[in-house]
Amino acid sequence: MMPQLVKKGAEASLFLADWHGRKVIIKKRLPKKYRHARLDEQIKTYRTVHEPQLMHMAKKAGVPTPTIFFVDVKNSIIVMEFIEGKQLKQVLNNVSSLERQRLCKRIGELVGRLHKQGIIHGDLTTSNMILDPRGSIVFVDFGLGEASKELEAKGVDLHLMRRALQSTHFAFAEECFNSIAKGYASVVGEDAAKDVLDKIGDIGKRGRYVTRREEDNGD
Amino acid sequence: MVKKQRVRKKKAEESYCLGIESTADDFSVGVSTFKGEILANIRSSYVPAEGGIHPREAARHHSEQASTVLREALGKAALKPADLSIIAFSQGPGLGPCLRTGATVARALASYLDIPLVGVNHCIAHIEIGKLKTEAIDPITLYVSGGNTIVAAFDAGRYRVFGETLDIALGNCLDVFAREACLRQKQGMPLGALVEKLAAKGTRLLELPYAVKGMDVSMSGLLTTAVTLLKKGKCRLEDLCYSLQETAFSMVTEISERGLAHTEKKEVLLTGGVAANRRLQAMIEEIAREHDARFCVVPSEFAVDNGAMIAWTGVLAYTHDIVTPINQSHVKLRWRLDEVEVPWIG
Amino acid sequence: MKTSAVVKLKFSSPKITETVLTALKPEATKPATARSKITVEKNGLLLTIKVEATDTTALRATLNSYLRWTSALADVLENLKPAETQLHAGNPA
Repeated sequence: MMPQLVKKGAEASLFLADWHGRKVIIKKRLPKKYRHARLDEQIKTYRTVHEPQLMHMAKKAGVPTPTIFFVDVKNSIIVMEFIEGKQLKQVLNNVSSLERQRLCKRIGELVGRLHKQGIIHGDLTTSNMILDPRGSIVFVDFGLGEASKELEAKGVDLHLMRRALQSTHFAFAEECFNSIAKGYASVVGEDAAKDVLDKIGDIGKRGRYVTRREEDNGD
Repeated sequence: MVKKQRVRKKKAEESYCLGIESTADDFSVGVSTFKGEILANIRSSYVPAEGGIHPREAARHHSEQASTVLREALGKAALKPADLSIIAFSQGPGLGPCLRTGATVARALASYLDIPLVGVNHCIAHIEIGKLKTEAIDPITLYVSGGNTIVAAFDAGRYRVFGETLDIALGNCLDVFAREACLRQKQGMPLGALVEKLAAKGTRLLELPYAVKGMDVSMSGLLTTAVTLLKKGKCRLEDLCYSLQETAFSMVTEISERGLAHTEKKEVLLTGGVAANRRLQAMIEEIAREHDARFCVVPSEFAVDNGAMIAWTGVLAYTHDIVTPINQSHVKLRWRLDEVEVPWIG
Repeated sequence: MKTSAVVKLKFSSPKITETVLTALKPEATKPATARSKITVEKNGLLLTIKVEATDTTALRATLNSYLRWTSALADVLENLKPAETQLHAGNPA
């Protein structure tokens, strides 16, 4: 089977190919002409090295991720298992409210497992989660991830999840996020979850004029 | 005399909106016809003697300049107050004292002339003036200024935020660095432009933290590292400016490209004060080309905070039945653009 | 220390006083800080601004804001008047 382009993303192209009799995804990070060649090289190398590491850590933490078969840092290539199934992005729009809540609670549990082991996904969107035929949710694309146990990093991670829901599933974003929070708390514990949720509240309030004095407190 | 009167009469058949902008360090008044012809766009900037914007000092500047700027704008548009049909003002987001000053002036005008008042979201105004001036129809927008860094596109009744800063704005990052480097702001020469000039002479790319998180960016780490390197005094200022621009601009370009790939829009609009930067323009133009989208950049007069954009957005809102009763015209310091219904599209 | 101040301002026409009152009212009903409480009223040409504050710093800040606003509004509105007069003078109909 000739490699076949299945997705041309902003950062990388994904090809479906045959790898020693296995169906695989070849992820090739593309050079970005807009950025300085050295910066481009650094970013591509960093992400190509870190992504497989994080996926491996995630698997150990009990979060399904594609198995990595091969990494070619020089050419910014990762070869990984092809996951059959549908993106959660499509699934969520076409199921009952009850099923949606169940899936979101499950997402929350998986994110909880990641955070408990100090893994930050870095790009939690429903496009980066695949519902496989056995009903497992598989997390993909750890390219922007990092290893961190910082509260800030966890808060940002879930804040991004919430923002992604708001921009792609605006009709039921809050319902989904509440279920995610429930699942998350069931894994990390109520107290730890509350700290992260409070942090998300803080992050949402930032963004503008933060280094300037905001209110009238006298001359 | 007769001729003059005829001109006046013809103009009276048209409808005009006067817009007041005062979210941060600029006080500006613009006039737009209901067809989107900008007749005036007068601006007065508060330039701090030292340090960053002090909101109260900026607000004092706005109070002192309001009458002059207003008179100049009406003069430029060749209109009398009685010719105006509506008054628009930037209701938020922004600095409290500055917003309140613009709001009181706007309310007074609307009340005195007995015409409708329209509160406008400042961020939406930046997008709408960009669309008006570049004839973009449905773009994905990168809006970068001293107070905001946002990637947004229209979907289902509102502008949706696809990416934004998690901490400080791009323009703020450049401004703070410039002040740390003791660059002095002048009228008509913003700090960002000084950084751009120095960056053009930079040759060496220094390693600075590159922080893209999902569709968002974080700039505070980048700024801290750049300032630390500056204080150590071992790097050329030109190289620091160059590296700061290269890194920060690459970050916002990356999230813009992600937004573009995600939404599959066919136009990319660059707007806001930092849109005047040539290097950033080149980067955004590159991703537009890559995705077969048209690159649109707002002309610099309308890139900075300006009253014309408020006037024009006021027209769009008013002609779609949006008015702001004076007793409900409180300013909104943290008014997000995705909270606003946008009935004039679609 | 609880502090308060009353400022009375006289404008050149009842309409201007009325306009300034209308413009300031939303600020008084939703003040920028809980440290100051503001009421604005009018009586003929006279506009009365009452400020109660929890401390003198807040009192001064609030007074400064309101005085700047009223002065800006007076400037703006006085400027509108001659323009109107001219319009009527040049337009006998």
